[in-house]
Amino acid sequence: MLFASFDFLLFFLPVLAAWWALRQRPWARTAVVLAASYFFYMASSQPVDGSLPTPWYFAGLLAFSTVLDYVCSARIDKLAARAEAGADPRVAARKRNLWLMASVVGNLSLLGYFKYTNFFLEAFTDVANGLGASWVAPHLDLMLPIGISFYTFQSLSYTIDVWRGKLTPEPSFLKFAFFVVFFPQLVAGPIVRASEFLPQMHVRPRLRLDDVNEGLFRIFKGLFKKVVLGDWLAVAFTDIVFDTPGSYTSWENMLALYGFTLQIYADFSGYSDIAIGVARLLGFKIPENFDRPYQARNLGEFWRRWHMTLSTWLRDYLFFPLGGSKGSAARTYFNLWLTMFLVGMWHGASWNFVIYSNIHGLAMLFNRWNRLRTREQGMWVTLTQLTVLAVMVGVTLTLFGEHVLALEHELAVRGGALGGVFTWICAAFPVTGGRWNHVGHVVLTFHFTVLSRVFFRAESLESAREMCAQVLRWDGRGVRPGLFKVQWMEDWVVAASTSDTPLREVGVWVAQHGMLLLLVAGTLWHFSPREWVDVRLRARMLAMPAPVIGVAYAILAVILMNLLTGPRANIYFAF
Amino acid sequence: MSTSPPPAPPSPDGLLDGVADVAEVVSLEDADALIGDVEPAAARRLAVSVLSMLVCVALTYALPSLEWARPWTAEEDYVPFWNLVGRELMDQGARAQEQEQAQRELEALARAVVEDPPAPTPRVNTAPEETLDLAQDQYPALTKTDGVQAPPTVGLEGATALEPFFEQLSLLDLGRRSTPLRVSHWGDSVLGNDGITSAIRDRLQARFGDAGHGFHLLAQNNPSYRHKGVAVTYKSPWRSCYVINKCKADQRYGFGGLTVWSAGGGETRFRFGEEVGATLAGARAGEDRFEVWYATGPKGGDLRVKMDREELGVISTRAPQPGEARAVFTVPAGRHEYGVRAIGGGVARAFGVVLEHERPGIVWDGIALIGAFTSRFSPKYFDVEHFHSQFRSRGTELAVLMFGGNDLNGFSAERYEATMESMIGMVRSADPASACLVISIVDHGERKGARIVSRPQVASMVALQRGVALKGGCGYFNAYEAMGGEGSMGRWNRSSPRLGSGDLAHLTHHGHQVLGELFTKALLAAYADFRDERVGAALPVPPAVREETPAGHREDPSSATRRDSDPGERVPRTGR
Repeated sequence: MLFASFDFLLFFLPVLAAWWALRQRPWARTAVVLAASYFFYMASSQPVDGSLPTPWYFAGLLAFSTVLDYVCSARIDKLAARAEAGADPRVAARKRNLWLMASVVGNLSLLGYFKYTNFFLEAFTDVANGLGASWVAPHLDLMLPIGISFYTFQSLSYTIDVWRGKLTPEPSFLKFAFFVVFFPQLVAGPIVRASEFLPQMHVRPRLRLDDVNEGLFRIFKGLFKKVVLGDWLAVAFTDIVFDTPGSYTSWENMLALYGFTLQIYADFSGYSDIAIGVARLLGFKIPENFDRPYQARNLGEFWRRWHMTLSTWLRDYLFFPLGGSKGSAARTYFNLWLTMFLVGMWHGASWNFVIYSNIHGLAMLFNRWNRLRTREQGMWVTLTQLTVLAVMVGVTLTLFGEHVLALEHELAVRGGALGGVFTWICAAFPVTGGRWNHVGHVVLTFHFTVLSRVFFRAESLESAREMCAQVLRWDGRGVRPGLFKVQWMEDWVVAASTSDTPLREVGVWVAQHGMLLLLVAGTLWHFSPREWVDVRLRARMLAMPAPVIGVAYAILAVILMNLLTGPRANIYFAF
Repeated sequence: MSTSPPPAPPSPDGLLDGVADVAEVVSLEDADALIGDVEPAAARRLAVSVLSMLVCVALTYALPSLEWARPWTAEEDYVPFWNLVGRELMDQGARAQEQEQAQRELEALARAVVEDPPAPTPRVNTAPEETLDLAQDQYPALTKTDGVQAPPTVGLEGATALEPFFEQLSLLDLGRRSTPLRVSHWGDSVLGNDGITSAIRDRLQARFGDAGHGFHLLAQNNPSYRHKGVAVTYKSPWRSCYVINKCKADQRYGFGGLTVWSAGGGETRFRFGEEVGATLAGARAGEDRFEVWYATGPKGGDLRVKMDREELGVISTRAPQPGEARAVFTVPAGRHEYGVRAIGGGVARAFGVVLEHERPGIVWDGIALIGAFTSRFSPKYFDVEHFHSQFRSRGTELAVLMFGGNDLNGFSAERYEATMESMIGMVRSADPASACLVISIVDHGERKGARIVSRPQVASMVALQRGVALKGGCGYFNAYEAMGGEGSMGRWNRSSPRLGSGDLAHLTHHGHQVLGELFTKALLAAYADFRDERVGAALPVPPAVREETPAGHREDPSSATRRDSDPGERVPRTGR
């Protein structure tokens, strides 16, 4: 079920009422919301957005994952207790590891099968064909179960924490099942860890004024971001360019990249806002997922601010266990690369994501090297060092462009040169400094994320190639008239004004550049001081009387309904 | 030697800069009293907010004037919680399953097409096996069944109109034709990026042989005017006039609907051809053909033509009377960069170039008149005599027309029928010996409520196009039905890989491939039927003989003002 839909309103209000009405019956209220969460999962539609109906076995997979982790964790805990009671600790440890492996393998096998099988087959065939074979990859007709990438990690965190002894197992299966399928975060996160959520099930639920205020504000903000900056921008602009990038000019392709950069942030962070707000109205606090990521000064900071619950999950359950940055430099760089590679590959299974993951993985290595390198060498040594690095990056990118993306030689060289210059600037830029230094770092990091989005968004490698070629070709043709036009707005302005007044002209101009203005406004909003939105705007909204807030929600709903003719799934549903 | 201090550790602001937290056991065993607690002020605020919003929703149902704001109406075919209600309780499950199945089949086709792209290959022009024991000059049975084993989902209609083309295709297939077989495909933005046309070209060239790319403009009429297999660089701008802008009083826009001119400096370069020794292995290593199509007139300037920076020749476009001509250059086969540059001496005006291989095979011209209404490709906009002259110069055996997408807005059946008849008339009368084929518009969708449906005018236009095409003596391919008919753009848009563009009017790169595959299958199936019918009948005269005949059907009655170049007479050849 999609948050920004009438279905969700019909679903959520009774669930909210039941939850608090049953506040004196803990078992009943937990059971009701557990059942409601399965309903939420399965009711997700035919349709509204055209996606295929959810098959029943999806619920079975969810239940399987729940039971598997509950049983494995219980066994792990029992074995630990047995070891403490005097049993052979080595045998107990081996058995505990086996139960952990059962959970990890069981969960990741399902994820791997549904999400990565076809890509592995394709990749294997591509590599074999590259070596001279002539195979055609078989394609399995698999539907990715909604939310599997989220709930797998969520329930795995429980088993691993119990195995590590950081968490005692949840005695109540009902509560554990509630944690796994809690509907606000079930299908698209945030990825909530057991250690963050389950303790909340063991304290008295309270609905305080602060929760209501926060919940109402976050849902309102999330809906606006998700639908206006996310969905509308996508439908009216970015999707159109990304579908056939070759039909658009270099500038139009670049603007689509900026548009998608804003869109994906608004889409996912808006969804997370709604999830956080809905959970808050039910008395639960779930973790933040975004922290204005495009304001990051470097890539490491970006990933600390972007989809925080995934990146910190992989940090805590992969990077640190691998040794983190405590080992040798080579080992640290390997750990860094592997973690970032998996962060990237979590998002999707295709060659595009292999490229995207490696771009970010290697950029993280560069980022660490650049911050740690000795800067007290002479100017000429530094210049030589940086130039050699830039040339190496340029040559690598040229070869990549020519042989992987199959760009024309001239374009590949141009791309390599730009990459080399970009690397040189990043490396030469002082690490610390005043305000302008900060701005410089933010601009460089932001543009790195914008450009790498080509591989994140493009439907296929050909499509990514086409977009790269169009941008690198730099045809100087600008933007065609009407590309950003909001037709209904122009019609409305023309119909509403009787004569050629300056106001009408302004209205028509705004309508004709509507999507561009939205893109600029959304980007500026993102870069505005946090206080403007999270403190001042919030305070203004919360100062409103409750009936006004209700009417504001109704007006927002009407606007959203008319901007799009149907709700649109969250981008991360596909992950 | 000074030693630099050890580098400081990175500031812990990055994701992976910190260290692991110290383990902290979270105990879940101390369940205290779990009776919930609600602050009255919180409950009041929440309840009043929700109630006031519900009142607003209720008002939309109570007041007819607010009908437009209702979040859901009973007329919709969607019910809330559809997966559990509509499918399970309202007997909509079977329909949904059918749709799922259709969608899966579409996606399977798309994957197959995308994963196994055809590779155009030069034709090795030895007589195929089936011709060896063939009675002289008679059609043998078709034994090559490439691409025609499975019947097409939607076949060609009026395929008899394509018989002149199929005759030539048979000669090519049987190794009796030594020259390229040319097809010219005009359309609006649906042909942008050479998507559909390159998909068809690749498939037919893989089957019948690759004789080159075909016609190309000297300037883009739109950023989407780009061709696959030809790398074009517009070095210096020409001035140009595109037919849809009706900007030339003489209405001579050339074969591709766009004319360019320059008093000096206008230059375009084309990189085209196969690397020698690679794909040419086994084929007759021959020559390539580069043609420059230009206008002549009393103030005409000069065009310098280069290949790999070496001058091929200078064309003077000056002539006492306005007319048009083409200069043909034959060069050793291989990958070359050709350049056409206006070098002064007057204003040189040109229409385009042709890039071909001098060998048997298919050439499929992709001529995208981006943004064009159907009427733009009709006598209303073109000087008919000029167009006919261009058409005959090209030696097109089959003209394919794919317009109509831009005519959907304000569609009037009566007006459109007349426009289309006029377009077909202009093409048919250019060379009655060549065949003609109309491809319908692709589906155009619009969002309606939760769904993507076909625009209401689409079905009417498709039916009308069919009627006019068959009546006008053309074959017809229903691209709309081949896509799946009503609502197909929605399905193509949702498909993975995505086949329909987000604007619901165009196809994606993969969509081009799929439609190209569907069309090619239909064309090959019609060809197979033709061959079955002709078994034992006499083969036509090979075109090499016809082309050498001065009085052949390609002679242009207006040749007095035309100076078709004779390569042997006025076009300098390279000595290499």
